Amino acid sequence: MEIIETFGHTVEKLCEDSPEKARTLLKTGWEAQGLKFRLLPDRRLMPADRYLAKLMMDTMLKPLKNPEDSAIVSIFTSCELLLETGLSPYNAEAFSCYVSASKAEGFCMEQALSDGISETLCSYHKTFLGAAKKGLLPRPRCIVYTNLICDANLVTFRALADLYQVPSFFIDVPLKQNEENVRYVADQLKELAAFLEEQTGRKIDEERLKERVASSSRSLKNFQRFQKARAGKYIPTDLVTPLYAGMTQNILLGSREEEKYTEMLLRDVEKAGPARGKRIYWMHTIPFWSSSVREALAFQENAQIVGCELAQVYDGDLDPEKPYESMARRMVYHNLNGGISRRIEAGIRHAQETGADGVVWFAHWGCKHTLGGARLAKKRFEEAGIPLLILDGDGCDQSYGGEGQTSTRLGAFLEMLG
Amino acid sequence: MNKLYYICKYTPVELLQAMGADCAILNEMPESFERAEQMAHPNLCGFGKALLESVLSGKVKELILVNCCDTIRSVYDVLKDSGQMDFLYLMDMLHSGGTCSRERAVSELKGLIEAYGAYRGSSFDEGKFRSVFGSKMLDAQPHISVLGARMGEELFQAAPCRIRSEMRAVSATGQQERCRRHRSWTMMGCWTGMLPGFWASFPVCEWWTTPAGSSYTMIQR
Repeated sequence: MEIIETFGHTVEKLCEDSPEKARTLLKTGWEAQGLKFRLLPDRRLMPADRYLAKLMMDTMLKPLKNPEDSAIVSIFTSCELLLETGLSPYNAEAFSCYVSASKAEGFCMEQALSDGISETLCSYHKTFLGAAKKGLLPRPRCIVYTNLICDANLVTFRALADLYQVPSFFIDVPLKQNEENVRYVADQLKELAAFLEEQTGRKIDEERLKERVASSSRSLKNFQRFQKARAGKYIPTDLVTPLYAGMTQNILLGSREEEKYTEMLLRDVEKAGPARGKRIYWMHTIPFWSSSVREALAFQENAQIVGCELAQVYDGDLDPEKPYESMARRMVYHNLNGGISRRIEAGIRHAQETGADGVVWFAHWGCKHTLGGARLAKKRFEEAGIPLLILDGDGCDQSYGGEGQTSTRLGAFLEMLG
Repeated sequence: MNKLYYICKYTPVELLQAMGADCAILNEMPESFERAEQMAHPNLCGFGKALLESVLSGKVKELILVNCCDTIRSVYDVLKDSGQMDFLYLMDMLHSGGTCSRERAVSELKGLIEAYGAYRGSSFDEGKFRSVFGSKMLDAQPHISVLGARMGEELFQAAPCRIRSEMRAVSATGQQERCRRHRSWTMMGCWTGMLPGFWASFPVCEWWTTPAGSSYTMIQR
């Protein structure tokens, strides 16, 4: 732990005078971690999840190595079009997680606050904005974002476009689920295709795009099958693996790598042993940095996380023959889009499918939608026979603290589950 | 007849008036958030909690919201679940001026007409609609504009008297009528040198200067 703190402190110090050197150090540190994932993977994880850790690290490194071939995106942006034009998703939320895991998020957030960003903005966004302003994160080719789920996107990505002076494309996703809104978003995605072609000089081949959407469909279905199959099985996990899946099941849909990951999951689950301990389904982000949560749920036979809602955001079908409509449908009918009831119903369904004994509703400090729906979720989950713990905290800001309370509340909840 | 309350300047008030609604801005500052925190969460933003507290007190039976932010989406979810409202509607505001956005905006407005008409048993009156677009000429004199989050009456009253008279709220509620002009702009010139110090000591505001000759704008945090 001290090594990581020293690493983060060195990144911070370098950033003051030479952001390029700080970025090089950050990239080198992440490359070293990627090498560790290859040579000394955590043998407690299933092969699929070991592969996932490498995949995620590679995804993070690409924008650092070749920023001109990357596009900053928000997590719920459909990325098949980016992938088709050769752009790597440079995901704001994931980068903030990794910066936080490198113990470098504090000075980034301080930078954002000193620039006038509100303290109440989500810490993932504050971290990314601050890191960008400090020069720690490189200038992308362009920015693609959406208002889907998160209103902070409208602040963050506009500010980033202004800061980096790069073109940006915004996808407006309406709240209501109907065909008119699917068409509305599909039309925007067609404009996005033209935008990306202009930015990259690469043409999007319709047939290849159809194949990407078919791959997205297979990956989503495979993951659904895996989640259902894991009911009754024990699958050891840490706190970051469910988050990695939450990232890749969004920004890497349509890639061969993500499909391979889901195929590996299906093979692994067949070999998994019988279930043991209490099974927790997790709503919203996971405070991976929290020692209290780690002690309670990481690689614990008596209690473990069996799913995270961020990895299960669309349950419908996709029609690869209509790629734009399919990508649009995935956004409009996203489980977190619209009223809180849709999100809660999806959570209940997924928790039941995985045989969860209880649910944690993580009230991430900056997420007003999650905070506002907390009491309703508790009521509805418990009406469905699933105990729910509202756990206050912050998924990215390690200075949030409250470890004692987290430990007490989570411990009491697990004890209550029996 | 109940008043139809709204909170956001994007609310199509004229359209609702054309259907017979008696519209009023909901702008209260409750003394506590007991009900709001019980129904939502203590960390929800203060504006959302104030809104929830006011409505859950029971005096508001008709409310129209606009999905300007995640907090208002949550307020809608909580109020819908409470079952206390006679009429509750969330308008899905456009965030884009691009493809088909005009058609979608029309569709949203028609949806509102349909929902309110079904509730009230009234229909859209074009003549009335045109008549409610009166000449709302804004005073073009220099003034202090308040932007950002809404500023309640209590905060206006908290401002020093000599400033208060020049303040005009143009925040999300669009309460331009708050402009109360008792002083001449000529007084403002002598404030220029003291504004930074003054605003720094003001608990909820920061100061923001605009080019010479225009107004000063105060951003509520």
